[in-house]
Amino acid sequence: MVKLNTNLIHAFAVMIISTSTLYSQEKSTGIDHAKYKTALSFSVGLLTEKTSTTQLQGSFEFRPKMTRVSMRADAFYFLNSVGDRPRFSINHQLFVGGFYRFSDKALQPFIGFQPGIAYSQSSEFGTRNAGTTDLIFQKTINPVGSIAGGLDFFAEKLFFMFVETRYIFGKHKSDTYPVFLDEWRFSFGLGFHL
Amino acid sequence: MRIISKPLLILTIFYSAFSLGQTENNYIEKGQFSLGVRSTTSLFGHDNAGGLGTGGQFRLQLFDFLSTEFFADWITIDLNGAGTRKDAHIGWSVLFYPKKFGRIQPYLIAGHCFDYAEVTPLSTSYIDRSSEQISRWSSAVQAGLGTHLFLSNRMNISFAAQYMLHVGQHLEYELIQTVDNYYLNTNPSGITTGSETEGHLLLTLSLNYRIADLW
Repeated sequence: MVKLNTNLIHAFAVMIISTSTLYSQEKSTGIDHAKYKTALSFSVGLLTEKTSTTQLQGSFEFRPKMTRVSMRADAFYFLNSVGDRPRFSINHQLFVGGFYRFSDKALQPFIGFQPGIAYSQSSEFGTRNAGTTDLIFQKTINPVGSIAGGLDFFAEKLFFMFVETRYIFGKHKSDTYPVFLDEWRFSFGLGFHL
Repeated sequence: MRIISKPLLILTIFYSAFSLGQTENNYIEKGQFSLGVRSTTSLFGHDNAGGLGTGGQFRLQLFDFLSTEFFADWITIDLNGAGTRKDAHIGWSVLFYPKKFGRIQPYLIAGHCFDYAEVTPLSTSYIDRSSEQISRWSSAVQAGLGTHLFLSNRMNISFAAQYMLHVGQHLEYELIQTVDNYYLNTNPSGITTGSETEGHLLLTLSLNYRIADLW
């Protein structure tokens, strides 16, 4: 007989059922055993040549009971790029990977690695269509990777504060010149945890 | 300051690794089903240019000593600024565990995959070389060694090194070094079916989580 992971079933049940149940669950587990967290924030990225970017960042993290290792997905929606060399008109990214927490206390430093993909379009290198003479900027999906680290502060039953930084590496490859996707990103904000 | 001798340090590291490997938990058992994400590096291929890939996989363990892995990878390679190569792999592998160790679990891995490759020469705002793009579907076999590192009873990081040998059609193109750059020359016919084989080394790092025990 199939024995599905009780942690996952528990996760879905907790998300669906009433708020009162959520509170009782929270009391029984406490913040030290928080297993799911989600957050939405703005992220600022730094590139070379005095260029910066802004993204909307959403994350969801699942942490199995009794471990300090968690799996986490992050999505970045590219908003804008300003500076001497903005490079991209589109650079949305999706990451999924693992994180390790150094503490189970209220203040939890963490590090992690996430492979991912970038959906990107160069704003500087295009190709001329021989038939229509239009300048085309190809949109492509490229693999990327990210090393991240930061601090979570669980001071409240349902909410937490976080600050984190990550280095993203990869290359936008299309039908014209390749462009590095390398970037330092910083984000902080408020999240929700169970 | 206290100085630790090299042999002592090495012994300590070996002892720690051995201790990790001797835990009594049964990390691998038949019926386990896990999901994972992976990052792949492609090396020593046709172009002598490294590629980065991202993908996913699921594993189904058939016996205590044997597991299966079904995977999909998307790898892109910058051909020294002269063009781009894209590879998609969809396939499966068998993982054989010669002996149960514990938290660190080495394995032999071998399998087969379907492979799509596309090579696009560089175009610019002045030169349109899109008609010189070539692509093909093929299949490949791969084999190598790997190891799991169990972070918990359900979660592991796996590292595998495999050599992938493409069988069947392969793409015919050449990276030619010019004075200060490279030029990608694609064969007008694009595909050859010669007896030459094409291969590359794949280094894969994956994070896996067991979601079910099916039997």
